[in-house]
Amino acid sequence: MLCDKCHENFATVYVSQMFNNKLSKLHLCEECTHGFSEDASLDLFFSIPELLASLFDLHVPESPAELLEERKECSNCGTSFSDIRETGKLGCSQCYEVFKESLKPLLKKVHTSLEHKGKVPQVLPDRVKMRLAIRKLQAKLTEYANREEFEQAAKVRDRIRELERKISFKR
Amino acid sequence: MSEKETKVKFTWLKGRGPESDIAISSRARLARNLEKLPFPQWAKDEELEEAKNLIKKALFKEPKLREFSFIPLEKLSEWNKKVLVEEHLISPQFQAKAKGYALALGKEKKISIMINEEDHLRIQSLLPGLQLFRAWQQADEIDNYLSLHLKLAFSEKWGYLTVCPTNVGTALRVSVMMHLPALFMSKQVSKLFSTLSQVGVTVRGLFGEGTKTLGNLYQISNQITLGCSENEIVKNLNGVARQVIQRERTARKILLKNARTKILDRAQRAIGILSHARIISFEEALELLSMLRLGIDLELVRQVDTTCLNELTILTRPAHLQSLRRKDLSPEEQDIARADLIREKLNF
Repeated sequence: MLCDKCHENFATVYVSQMFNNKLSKLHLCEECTHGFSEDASLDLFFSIPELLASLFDLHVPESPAELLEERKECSNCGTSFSDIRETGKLGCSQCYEVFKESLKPLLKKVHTSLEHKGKVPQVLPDRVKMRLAIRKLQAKLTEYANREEFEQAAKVRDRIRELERKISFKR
Repeated sequence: MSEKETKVKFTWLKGRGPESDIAISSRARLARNLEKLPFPQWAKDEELEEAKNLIKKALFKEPKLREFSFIPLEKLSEWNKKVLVEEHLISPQFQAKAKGYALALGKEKKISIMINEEDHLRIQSLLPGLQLFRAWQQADEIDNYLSLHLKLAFSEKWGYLTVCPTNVGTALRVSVMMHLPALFMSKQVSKLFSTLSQVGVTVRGLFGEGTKTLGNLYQISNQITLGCSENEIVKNLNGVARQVIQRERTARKILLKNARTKILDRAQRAIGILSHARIISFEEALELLSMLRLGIDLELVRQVDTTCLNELTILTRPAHLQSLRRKDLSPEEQDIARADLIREKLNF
C-alpha cells in the first residue's frame, strides 16, 4: 500500500498515535517516517480530511441504521458512503440527512458534542425556525419538570405539540 | 486584477497589533455552503457556475458588500494566484483550480471571500497582532449581509453544514500566527503542543495544514467547531494565545539572563549573513530573520522596523520575488533575488 503522507512511496512503517485522545493508525514510507517525531503534534503532518478518513476506517458500524446507510446514495448529489469514507468529504447539504447515523459517532469523536450551540442564519426556512423553537422549548420543559412546576411544563408541552403539528402540515 | 493591485501594500502586515512582537497575525474563517447545490468537490461545471453566480449576485445586491472586488480565478495569471497564496489570502489548493472559482476581496485586503474552494463560501478576515475578536466580528458581519441574500445550508441539529464534517456547526476556525524562537531554543515547543491539543488547540507550520515549521513561526487554531458558541471558541483560543505569549516572554527573559551572548551572537550572525550574502534560500532567510527579530525584540541589536521584517517573510517567497521582478525565475535566480531584496529592504 502507498504511504499515507506522500502517496508516492510504498509504506513500510505502521504508526499508531494518540491524537486528541483518539487513536489513529497510519502507514508511512521510510522517508516520511524520518520527519515524524513522537513528540510532534499530528497536525503538523496530516491534513484534516485524511485524518477524518482514517477515523472513518477505525469506526465499526454498530446499529442497523448505520449498516443501512453504508449502502445508500444521496438522491441529491449521488454521493455514496464509500466516497465519503475515502475522502472525508460530503457531497451536498442533503448528505447530512442521508448519512446521519454514520456521521453521528464521527462527529462525536471529533467535536465531543452533537448539538449546535452557535449562530443561526438570519434568514431561515420556516420549518427550521420552528424546529429550533421546539428545541428551546424542550429544554424549558425539562427545566420546569425538574423544578416540579408541572403547570408551566404542561403549557410548554402544549406549545411544542402545536409547533410539531404545524411542521407536519407544511410537509 | 491589475498588477497595480498586487503591489497594494498588504495592510494586515503594515498595521501594528497588540502583542505583535510574538503574535504576528490573527485570522478568522467562516465556512458556508448553499442549500441543495452539490459541494464544489464533485460539482459539475454548471453547478459551480450556478453557485458562483448566486454569490456574485448577492455581493452586488447588498449595498454593504459593494466595496468587494469580484475576481474570477481564471482571470488571474499564475503569478498573481501564487502571490495571493503567499499573502495568505487564498489556500494552496484553491490556486490550482480554474473554472467556477472566484475570489472577492474587501478594501485593503483585510477580508477575503473564497468562492467554490472546499466549501461554496469561505469568509476570511486577517488582522495584525492578537485581534481575534475583531477578526471574527468582521467575518461575522460579512456573513450576516450575505445570508440576507442566499439560502445557506443549515441544520438545527448540526448548525452550518460544511463539506468536511470537522468544520460543521459554527464552521468557525480562528487562528493566530506566532513567532516562538525562545520556546524553540529552550526545547519547550513539543511539550507545549501536546498540552495544547488537550485543550482543543491544534498547531501547524507557516503555510497551514501538513507543513513543517519555518522560521519559528507556528499557527495555533481551534479544533472543535460544534457544540460551543462562536464567542466561546474565540475566547478559548484567545486565552490560549495569551498563555503561549506569556510562556514565550518568560522563555525570552530566561534566555536573556542565561544566554545573552548566545542570542546576541545569533542575531549578529543573522545580520552578518543577511547583509552580505548574495545567495540565500527561503528556509535560511526565515531562520535568520527569526534570529534577527529576536535580537531586536530583546533590544540587543540596533532597531530595524519589524513591519519590514513581517513584509520580508512574505516578499521573500518564490511567487512574490518573481512578481517583483516581473519574470519567471529559476530556483537559483530566486535565491539571488531574495538576497538582493533583503539587503535592500534592511538597508544593508
